[in-house]
Amino acid sequence: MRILQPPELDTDTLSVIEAARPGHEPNEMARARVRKGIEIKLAAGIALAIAPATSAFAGALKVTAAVVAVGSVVGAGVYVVPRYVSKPAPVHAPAPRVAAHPAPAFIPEAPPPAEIAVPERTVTAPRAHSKRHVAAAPAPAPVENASSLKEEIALLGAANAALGRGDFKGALSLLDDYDRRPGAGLLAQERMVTGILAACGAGRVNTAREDARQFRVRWPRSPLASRVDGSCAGSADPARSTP
Amino acid sequence: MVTGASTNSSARVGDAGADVGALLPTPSDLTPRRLYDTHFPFVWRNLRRLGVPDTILEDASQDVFLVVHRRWDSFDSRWSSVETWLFGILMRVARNHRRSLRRRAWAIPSTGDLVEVVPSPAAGPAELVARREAVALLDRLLDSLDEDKRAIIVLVDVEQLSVPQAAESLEVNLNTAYWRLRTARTQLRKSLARFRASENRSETDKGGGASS
Repeated sequence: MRILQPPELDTDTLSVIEAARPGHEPNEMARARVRKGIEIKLAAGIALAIAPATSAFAGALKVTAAVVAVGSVVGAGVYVVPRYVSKPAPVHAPAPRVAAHPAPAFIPEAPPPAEIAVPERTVTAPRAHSKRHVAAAPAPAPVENASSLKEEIALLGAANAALGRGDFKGALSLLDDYDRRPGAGLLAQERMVTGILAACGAGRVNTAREDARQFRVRWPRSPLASRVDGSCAGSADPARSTP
Repeated sequence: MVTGASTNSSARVGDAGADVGALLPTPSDLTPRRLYDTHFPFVWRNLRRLGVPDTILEDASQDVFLVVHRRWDSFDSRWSSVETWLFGILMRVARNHRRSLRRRAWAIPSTGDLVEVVPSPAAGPAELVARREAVALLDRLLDSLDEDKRAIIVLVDVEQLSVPQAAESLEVNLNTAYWRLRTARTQLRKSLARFRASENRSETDKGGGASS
């Protein structure tokens, strides 16, 4: 088959390309930072695989996972209880999806995210303050919302379990799943913190810092702010966060 | 996947890059570490050219080399050059980062038209300004292309690899590569013509405004 030769570039386009060609080069600082990031990531992967219990990094993850998991459960309780049940809802643990990703041995304190049980009789309760699916039929709405919340808890729990295992990519992927869910997340704060920690673990310091900055803007008085400050994203003080 | 492109590593780059290619180690001498030393600029500049914004360029470069570590065993003499293999990896990483960025657009500030150009001792201030403008213009032109066409322009016209090597890197057959290059060049030329026309119009408007 005859190959149709592409037209040559005209001189104007060619001159733009020639002039721009040397302009995309990296600087030495960027080269050094990327190298360091790769080394840390590779070393962290090995360290977590060999001795997770003694790793300081794993220790930090342990505490964070506990905080985030507890935060998820508390957040879920606060959201669900006053709206969908007439008396305090019983809490059953563990949720099925989380059980498929048990927390590793070096996170003993981290309770698995709990499933919030919604009594059957509350299904028909009016949904006064639903944030989503306002046009949907009122009767099944609470169940839908509760199941959405359960899904959020399960996804965040699984992401935190992945964090604990040192599977940062897995954690980020689960958070992507969380983001793909329709509507705004009820546990957006917890999702953000988990994302920052996962980005830190994956060596994506720039991403973590950008997310941390956004976190501080959106939730300046969040109780989870200390977790963000304790991560690689550092404090809000730019002088401290600059490498 | 791999075409019958040349297996000579030093002959893989076009005229302008042939000397550079000859200096690079042969694949048998390569380790991931050495690849980083020799090819970090290649990865960096091509991620930029594929549209990865400066704010996440370091993360994306890091990801490329982590994939290189993981897939090191998959690189062998079937590939005509390290660059074709590496470009395939960095193209996927760039795509993932762009998608991720679109999902998290609210969290990442835009850098606008800021373009970082690394100063070099040989370049004077005027030359640096001209280079910065050229980089911004090329980025803008590349932005007007879709992902596939952008990649082949970057490989063939900017990075100066041969079309068979570009075909290997993009994992398409030679005819497809030629067709893409043809349509991409035509589109690029039209985009530049449009840009020049709008530039002339604004110059005329300024002139008219100044004289009135």
